[in-house]
Amino acid sequence: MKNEITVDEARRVLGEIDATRMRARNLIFAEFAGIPLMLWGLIWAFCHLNGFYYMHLGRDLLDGDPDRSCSWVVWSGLTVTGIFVVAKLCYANPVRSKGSWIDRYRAPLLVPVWFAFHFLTAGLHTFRDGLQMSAYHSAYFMLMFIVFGLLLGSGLFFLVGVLISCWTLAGYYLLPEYYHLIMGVGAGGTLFVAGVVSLIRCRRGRSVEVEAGEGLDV
Amino acid sequence: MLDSIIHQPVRLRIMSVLVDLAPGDEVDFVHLKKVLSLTDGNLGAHLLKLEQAGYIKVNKMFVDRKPRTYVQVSGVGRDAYGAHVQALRSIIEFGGNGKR
Repeated sequence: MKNEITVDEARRVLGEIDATRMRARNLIFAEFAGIPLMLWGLIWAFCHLNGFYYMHLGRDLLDGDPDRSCSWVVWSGLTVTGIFVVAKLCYANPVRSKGSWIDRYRAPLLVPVWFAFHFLTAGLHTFRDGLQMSAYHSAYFMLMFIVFGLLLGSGLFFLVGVLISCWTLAGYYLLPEYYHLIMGVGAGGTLFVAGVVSLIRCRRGRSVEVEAGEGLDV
Repeated sequence: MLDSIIHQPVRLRIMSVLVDLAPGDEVDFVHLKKVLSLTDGNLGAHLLKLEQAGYIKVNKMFVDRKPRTYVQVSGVGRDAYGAHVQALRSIIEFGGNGKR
């Protein structure tokens, strides 16, 4: 054990501490987020492809107008809640908390509450058509992905946010006729792939690289 | 003042993960191994060192008939880690050499 360290060494050690803490948080978050992202991607793909089918063939697989029906708000709320219930059941939390119930479920509960808040406040807007409303919701959610990605230091979430924002804006402004197709395949696919990548990275434990032999100095 | 037990790179990483949890929370050994990219033996040896110093508590139990090991930081460990990080910050701030 050295008796003294330099300022640069101290700075490097503190940097490593921060990096490790961030990786540990990311791993837990990515492990939890994998399944919800995959489910969300599948649902998004189905709903948008249904919208595309309706716009171009005049038939709706869900037997209702996917853009104008108010029932989508209820369905969205139920879907999001369902996704998180499934995720919670599938997720083996590596952290055993001795805190209160509210401490343990604060984060999972925050998401459905936030979704509900968003849908309620979205009711204050007047949208020109269903396409505009859909693009607004998508852009809003992706802004959240970008913000969460930056806050948590998660490159994957940031990338998903940027990619789907690009799909949304390109679909809405450049190819409105194919908006639902672009969102179904592009955005739904991006979410699904992000979920798969998230789970694979967690299984492989690729989030940390330790220099060879570093851990042997016991 | 720098703590020689915590200052070892792997042990410092272990402590940084444990201290980041809420007081009383404990983390699964397998998860810790994955986060730190260590082998069972290597992580076990470092945990033993920290446990002997009284910085962590290791709880072994059966969950669904499977053996599970959980690790949590003790109050002494949390204080020692805090003092160690503070010493590192002081070195940066005052340009000292961290003599023990």
